[in-house]
Amino acid sequence: MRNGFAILDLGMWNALPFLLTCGLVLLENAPLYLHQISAVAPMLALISVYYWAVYRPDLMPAPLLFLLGLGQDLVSGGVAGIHPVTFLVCYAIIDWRRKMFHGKSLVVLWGGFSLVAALAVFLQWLLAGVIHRVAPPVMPAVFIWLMSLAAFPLLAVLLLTVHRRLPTRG
Amino acid sequence: MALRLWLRRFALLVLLAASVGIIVLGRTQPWLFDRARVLAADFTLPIMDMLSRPAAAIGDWVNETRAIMDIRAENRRLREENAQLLQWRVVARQAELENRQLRELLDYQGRDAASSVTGRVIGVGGRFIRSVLLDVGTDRGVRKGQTAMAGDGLVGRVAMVGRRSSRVLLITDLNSRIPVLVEETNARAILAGDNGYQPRLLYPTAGADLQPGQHVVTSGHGGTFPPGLPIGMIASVQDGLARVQPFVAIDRQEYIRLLNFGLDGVLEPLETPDRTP
Repeated sequence: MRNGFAILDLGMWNALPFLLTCGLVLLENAPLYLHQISAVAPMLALISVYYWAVYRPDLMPAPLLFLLGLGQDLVSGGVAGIHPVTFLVCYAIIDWRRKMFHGKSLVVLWGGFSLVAALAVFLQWLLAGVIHRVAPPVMPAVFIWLMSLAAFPLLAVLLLTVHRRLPTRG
Repeated sequence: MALRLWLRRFALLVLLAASVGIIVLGRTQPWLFDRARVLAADFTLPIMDMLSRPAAAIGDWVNETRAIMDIRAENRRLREENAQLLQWRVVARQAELENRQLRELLDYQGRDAASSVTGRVIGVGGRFIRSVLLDVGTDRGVRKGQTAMAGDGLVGRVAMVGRRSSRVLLITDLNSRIPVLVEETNARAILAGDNGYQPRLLYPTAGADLQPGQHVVTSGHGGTFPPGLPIGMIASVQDGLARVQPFVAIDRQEYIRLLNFGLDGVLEPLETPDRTP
């Protein structure tokens, strides 16, 4: 008997990680209407980028990351280019050290993300500082990092669910 | 296999270089990406609007819960405030009468907003940019440079406009520089955002006696804002640096009013720092 999912086109399934990350990019820029929270919203898209770069880099190639980052910058009204740089640098690091994260427990994956997220926040903080020629305050950057760490397990469970349903590589 | 690996790494390097190129290009030719930003905002508007609805509900709920938790204190505060306001009403009526008479004497031409549009906040700025995206654009009469207010306080100004959306650069943004006046002493200064919640007062007039509690309003210099718009109160003065607590908790606002004063003063693109004092 044919499974309902099998009817869906394979390409659609393979596009799911990218589409999901697009959704997270938009969600990241949605307002929360809560005082002092918007400025420290977690880096949701980075969580997704990290997850797929570790487990299915074939579905999240560098050109797509470039587009995602550019989209993120345009949607947020920020300086174009900051997010592509962030995503690509993080991707390069993961690519270089994939064996460290791949197939390990969620805690190890989380630990890896904490390093990648720290690098991402630092890069964005640094670039914002260089571009605007003023050092932005440090505390929001620290909180963004902490909020991202807190959001990671929740989102990772969702991504894992999607991951399990994806057709296998090849 | 090795070739594929090297090809992938090469592509990564090329894309990274392209990203850096985009940053540099965006700095030297800011208009190049303004159009793209406006298009992106207009294009994602329906989705952003949808995404912000549950957030609004959650935000309302949290704010309501907070309000209920300190309802007694709030009630007491409001009673006191009400008593004070009743006194002020008498004073205001007298002042209004006096004002009218004086205006007639001077043949005063008022500078009231010619029109206003209210927009719903459907997006916030990037991580190191303080701006909000509104669901109103040129089709509702929004123009670049219009004044954004919420409640009684200044929030920012329109920095970018699309057909159906607009982006307001907040007074707390790193790039925001607003000529202001301290009401009590008439001292002039520049209100400069630093992405924190309390913008700083830079370059105060020599001998300006800045004290916590003094009111800060727009001075009208530079022609970007009309004079006298309330901004906030000096919250602290440390080592000569005064910080202003805005009257409006900006990121709690769901609706923002855009006022057209018919001003088109010096407006910089969203990301270009305006360093002139």
